[in-house]
Order: sequence, then C-alpha cells, then structure tokens
Amino acid sequence: MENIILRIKRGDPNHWEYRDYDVPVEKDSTVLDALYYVRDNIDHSLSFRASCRMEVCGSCAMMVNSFPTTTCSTLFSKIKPAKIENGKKVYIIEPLRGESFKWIRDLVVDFDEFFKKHESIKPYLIRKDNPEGQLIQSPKELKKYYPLTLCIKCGACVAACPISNSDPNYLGPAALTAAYRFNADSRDQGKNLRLAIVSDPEGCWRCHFSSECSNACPKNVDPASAIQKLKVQSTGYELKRIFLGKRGE
Amino acid sequence: MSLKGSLFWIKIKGRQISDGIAFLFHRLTGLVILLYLYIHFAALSQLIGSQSTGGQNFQNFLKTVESPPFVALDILLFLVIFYHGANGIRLVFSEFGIGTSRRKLFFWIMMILGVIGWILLTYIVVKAFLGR
Amino acid sequence: MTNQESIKGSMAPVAWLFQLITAIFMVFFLGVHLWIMHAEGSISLTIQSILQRINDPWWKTFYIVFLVSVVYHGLNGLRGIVFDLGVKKKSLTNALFWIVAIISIIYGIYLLYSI
Ligand code: SF4
Ligand code: SF4
Repeated sequence: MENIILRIKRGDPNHWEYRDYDVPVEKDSTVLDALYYVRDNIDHSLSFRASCRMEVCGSCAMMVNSFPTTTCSTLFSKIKPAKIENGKKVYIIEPLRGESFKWIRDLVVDFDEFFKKHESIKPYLIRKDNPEGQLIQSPKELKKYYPLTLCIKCGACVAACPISNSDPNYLGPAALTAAYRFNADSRDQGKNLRLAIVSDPEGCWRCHFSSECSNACPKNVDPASAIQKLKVQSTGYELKRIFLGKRGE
Repeated sequence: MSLKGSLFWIKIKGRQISDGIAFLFHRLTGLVILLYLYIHFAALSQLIGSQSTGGQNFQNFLKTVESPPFVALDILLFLVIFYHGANGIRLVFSEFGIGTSRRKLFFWIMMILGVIGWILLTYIVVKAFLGR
Repeated sequence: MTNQESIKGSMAPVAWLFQLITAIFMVFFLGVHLWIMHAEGSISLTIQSILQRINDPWWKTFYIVFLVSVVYHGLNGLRGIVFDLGVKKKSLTNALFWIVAIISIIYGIYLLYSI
C-alpha cells in the first residue's frame, strides 16, 4: 500500500481547476479504483462515467497522464507517474480531449458526435435480398473482421488521433474502423453504400497513418490498419465510379 | 476549429516516436521542403540569362552556395529530405495496407536506411568541399 | 436495397493516389537530382554542363515531370494540413491550391527555358 496523488481536472468549460487528492493504492489498483475511492471517501461531487469495470462497456476512457485509455484496465503499477512531488507519485487525470468531444463536467464528455458519426457509416449488415434462415460463414471469413468486432466504442482512439483533435468533422478512427468491419464481413452486401460515405474528404482521407489510434486502443483493434485497407477499397470504388460510371448501390 | 485544437498535432506528450511523433516530423519536414522549393525558385531566378552572358552570374552564384555556411545548411536540408523520404516510403506502403501491423520495426528500419543515405551523401559532399 | 441519399462522388481518392505516385516518382527524381548536383556535381559542376543538360529534350522532360510532381506533392500536402485544421471552405481551399500550383509550374517551366 502506498499513497499517491491524483491530480484531477475539475469543473466545467467556464470554470475549472486541477485538484489534488491523496489516495491509497494497492499493487493491483486501477485508476478507476482510485476514482471511486475519491468519490466515496473524499469528494462526493466528482463526476465520471464508468460501469462494467472490466473493459467491456467502454464508458471509462479518460486522459491518464495525457494518454487516452480505459481507466478500468489501467493499473498504477503498469504506468509511469506524470511527476513525483514530495516523494509522492502524481497522476494527472483529465477528460477525453479534442474537438470531437464536448467537455461537460469533471471527467465527463459528450459522446453525441461520436455516436452520430458511428451511425452515419451504417454499422449493421445490409442485404439486398431477404435471406431465409442462417447466413453461413466459414472460420476463415470470420477471422477477416473478428478483431474489429472487439471495439467497445470507448473513444480513446478518437482522443488520441491528431486529426480528430483539430478537425471536428473528421469521421474518426472508431467510425471508420466500424465501416471496414462491416465491409470485410462476408454476409454484408452494403459495401458500396459505406464506401460512398467514407470516401468523402472528411472520411478516410483525413487519416495520415499517424497510428496513434492503434497505440491507444485498449482492445487492440488496430484502427489504423483498418483505415488504410478502407482507403484502398474506396480508391477502387471511386475509380470504378469515375471510369465505368458505376455508383454505390 | 479552435486555435487550441488546430495546434494539437504539435503535442508530443503521450505520443509514440514511431507513430504520432513520426507524423509530426513528417509534416514539419514537408513544410520545410515546400518552403525550400520556393527559395530554390528564387535562387534559380538569379541564373536567368546564363546562356547569353556565358555564365558570369553562375560563377557568382556558385561562390555563394559553395561557402561553408551554405554547405552546412545543405547538409541539414539533406537530413530533412532523407527523413521525409525514408518515412514517406514507409507511409506509401502502409497506406496501401502493407506492413501496418509491424509499425515500430518498419519505422526503425526506414530510419536506419535514411540515416545511412544521409551519411553517404554528406560524406561525398564534405569530401568534395574539402578537396576544393 | 438501394439508397440514393448518400450517393455522391469524391475526387479525394484520386488526389491521394497522385500523392503516393508523385512520392514514388520523387524518390527517384530527387535521388538523381541530389546525385548530379551534389555528389557528382560537387566535383564537376559547370554552367556548360548544366546548360547542356537542360537543353537536352530528355532531361528537359525529366525536369518538367519532376517540377510537376514536386509542386503537386508539396502543395497537396499543405492542402491536407489545411483541411486537417477543420476548415469549412473546402472549394476555396481547392481553388487556391490549383492557382498556386499552376503559377508555380508555369514559373518553373519559365526558369527552365530562360536560364
Ligand atoms: S477502436 Fe479501440 S479505442 Fe477506438 S473506440 Fe474501439 S475500442 Fe475504443
Ligand atoms: S492513423 Fe489515422 S485515424 Fe489513426 S490516429 Fe492517425 S490519423 Fe487518426
């Protein structure tokens, strides 16, 4: 057991400050444990979002020492403190940053834009026919997109992306990865519909493979790789459109 | 678009060298090279008419650009170009979806190749400079 | 199922493809350029050799393609940076990009013919 300092950004866009909290942590304490400790024992007014505590719900992503991550799966023993003051380790906790998230209060940001973008790329199976019974898929076909289904929509990738942070209109790594996830699914028939959306200048073309999204992703989804494959797909789609006059359907 | 947001890509904290910082340097070196392109245009405009004057202005031009400070700047510029080129080759492959899962390895291999190229060119230039 | 509302075209992929193609060109062009001007050239650069080279039709073509590539690649990169900042005036940015690119290319060709 040791005591650390949690330096939390408190307040709202009009009035805010960093406040220090002295928190005891164990060897296996997570950042989220420490936040609960603060709320239960020190300051009941601390706001943050969290639910499952096991990296499934995607609510608890925050900036920990300027790095976006899900706090439920971030152990203090696994990260370096931001600084050491009076012999105590200091960890800085801030809400997810960037133009894509509106800061509401304390550690809570507005995910509306994030989910609107996600919805806009049609993240569901699209069929031209009305199939009866099951759609059969081989393990090989499943493997093509399976890792991408692990995305929990935590938004860490978007907070990490330098482009999402300056351009609020960029679709962002999470939505683009979801588009590729369905395009790579053998049961789906809506590939061109999605490509028509993501080949927009605010779609995959704002990505320059800085791959910070893949570093941040707690689920190892690797959005950066998925987006580059999406670029190749959309180039094919647009070239066909320009030279053969084929449109999305 | 806010000022704070538009400067975000300059931030280094929490970023990986082979990813976000490589991207930052790719941009900065790109801007430097673009700026240099126009300086290059301006410099070349000094040579207009060499054909008729028989190269007198070219001799003056050479005298300036072959002075030590210019050669030193040239060598710095080579570094900028070799970084942009080496990282750029990596990006061409990556953006086609090749090698995206071994980002660190790919980045460092390209950096080593870039530095080797830069040292070779610098060696040749410095040798020629000292031999004059 | 057809859904017409979202179907529109975009030239962004073509711009991207050109960025990559000019990138590959430039590894070659700039390699040659650096070699003849600085490596080989540091020893034997004379106005005669330069004039001889730029008056050769093959070299002239080489320089023009190089010029177009470098101007496109550089300015398209800059255009990307501007877009990344989240500017809304996309057509204005594109128009400016083309104007500057064309002026630069014309000026470069003018230099090539008047040196
Ligand atoms: S891709 Fe990863 S970081 Fe992005 S929302 Fe999904 S789980 Fe989170
Ligand atoms: S790879 Fe693309 S989406 Fe991911 S952080 Fe970089 S620019 Fe953003």
